[in-house]
Amino acid sequence: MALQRFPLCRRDELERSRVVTRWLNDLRDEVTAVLLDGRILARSSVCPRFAGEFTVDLAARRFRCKWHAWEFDIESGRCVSNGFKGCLRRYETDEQDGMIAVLYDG
Amino acid sequence: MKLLQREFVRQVPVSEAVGWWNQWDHEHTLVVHGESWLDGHLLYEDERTCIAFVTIRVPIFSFLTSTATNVNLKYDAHTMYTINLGLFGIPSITKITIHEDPPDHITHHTTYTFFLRGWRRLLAPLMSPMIARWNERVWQEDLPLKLRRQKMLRHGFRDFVGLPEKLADRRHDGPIECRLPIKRLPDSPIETGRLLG
Repeated sequence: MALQRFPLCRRDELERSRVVTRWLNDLRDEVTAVLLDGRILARSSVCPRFAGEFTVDLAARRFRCKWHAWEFDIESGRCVSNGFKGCLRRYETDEQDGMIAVLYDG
Repeated sequence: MKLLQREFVRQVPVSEAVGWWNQWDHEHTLVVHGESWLDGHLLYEDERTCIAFVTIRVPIFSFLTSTATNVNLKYDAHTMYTINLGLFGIPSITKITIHEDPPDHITHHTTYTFFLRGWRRLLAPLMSPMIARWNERVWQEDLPLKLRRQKMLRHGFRDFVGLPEKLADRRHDGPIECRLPIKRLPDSPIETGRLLG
C-alpha cells in the first residue's frame, strides 16, 4: 500500500514549542512529534498499557504516562521503567511548504 | 449510632466496562490521585475481592493522614461495595453502582455511609463536606482517563498491545469488556505489597 500523508502541524509551531501532540482523525492515532537535535521524531503517544496520556521530558528524552508513570525512551520507543517489551510505534514524517505530515502505509 | 449518608449521581459517555476498569485499576490511584492517596499495599485480590491498606490525605484537613483497611467486593455485575475502617476508627461502606443505558453511556451512583458511634457523632457536620470534596476531586481526576480510554477502545486499542497496526482495524463496534482483576505486569509495584494469596 502507498504511503499516506497525515498533516500534523506547521514547522514553526514545532520549532516554537519543540513538542506537538495531536489526535489525527484520519490516522486514528495520537501522535507526538518532538524536535531532538534538529531532527523531527514522531511516535504514537498512546501508552500501550491502558491507553494513557504522556507528558514529555525533553531533557531526559522520555515520555512518561500520566496514569501509571510508565516511561518510554523517545529515540528507541522502548519502555525503560519496567519489564514491558513493547515499543511505541514510530511514524516517518515529511515536510511540504512548512507543513509537517506523518507518513503511514497501514 | 448515627448514620451519615451522602449520595452522588453522575452521567458519563463511556461503557460500563470502562467504569469498572477505573474502579478496579489500583495502580493509577497513586499516580493520578497522588494528592489524596499517599500509599497503598495490596494484600489480596481475585476476580471479585480486593483487600488493601491505603493511606490517604484527609480532605479539607489536609494536615491529617489516615491509614485504612479497604475491602472491595464486586457484589454483582453492576454493584461494588467498599468496606473501610479508617480515620478515628470510623467504619464506612461505599456502594457504587454503574448502569449502561444507552450503550457507551453510564449512570454512576456512589453512596457513602459512615457509622458514627459515641463522640464520633459530633464529627458528622465536618465529615459531610469532606465526603463531597473527596468525591468531587477524585471524580474530576478520573474523568479524563475514562473518556480517553473509551475513545481508544473504540479505535481497537488492546491492553499491553496498543492501537492496531492496520488503519482499517482501528475501529471497534462490538462490546467492551472488563475482566477482573485488572491485568498487570509481574514486576508491577503493587505486587510488592502483596501479603496474602
